[in-house]
Amino acid sequence: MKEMLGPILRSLPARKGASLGERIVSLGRMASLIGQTVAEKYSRRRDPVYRARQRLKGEKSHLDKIGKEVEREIQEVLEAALR
Amino acid sequence: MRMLGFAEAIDDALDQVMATDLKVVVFGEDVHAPRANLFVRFGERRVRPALISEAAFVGAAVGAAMAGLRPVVEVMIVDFIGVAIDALLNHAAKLEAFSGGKWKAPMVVRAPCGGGYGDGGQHEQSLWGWHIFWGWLLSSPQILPMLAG
Repeated sequence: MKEMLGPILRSLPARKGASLGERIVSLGRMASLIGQTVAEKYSRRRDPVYRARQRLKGEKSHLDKIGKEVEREIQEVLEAALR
Repeated sequence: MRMLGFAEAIDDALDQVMATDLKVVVFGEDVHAPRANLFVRFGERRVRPALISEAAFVGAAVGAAMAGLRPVVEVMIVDFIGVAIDALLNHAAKLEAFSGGKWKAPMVVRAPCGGGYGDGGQHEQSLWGWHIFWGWLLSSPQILPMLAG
């Protein structure tokens, strides 16, 4: 991110190129793209495991059962891969 | 002498040529992200992000070149050029001969080649030889001045 910021800010007032209006629109699009990327990276609402846990909050036994099943499946895959 | 990395040298060369030649435009899949500084400076009309369809945006660049622009097409990795082979091999490369020299499609297609970073058999091939079409100048720069020049 830091590496991008310098060149972007230098581009804004650089001689020759698009009009100031176009530059501001482009800058806005870049800011929106960066914002979306950061939000996607850190938003837990998009995490399917988090969402499943939230949905099954009231059913602790069911959640534990699923958790154990997942652990068992992962263990099986690992053992098969290392065999 | 300025010291630049590969990516900076490409960026710098594009920046300079776009400032001096208004016909130079950049096409590529989400190209506004890696070329954010050019996107801000020259706007969306000259740095044109495309969807994931090399066939479409390389084909569009061939048309733009025929119409008088000087497109620089950035393909994310060389392996994906296979998708755009019709535009490059059957149109851009043969156009001049087919039209008796009346039409040309001068353009640059740039794509990172090779790898070794574990991206799999469809994403890091070394397809230099594959792209020597009639009418194409193939450049595989090993040193920065060649890359920027």
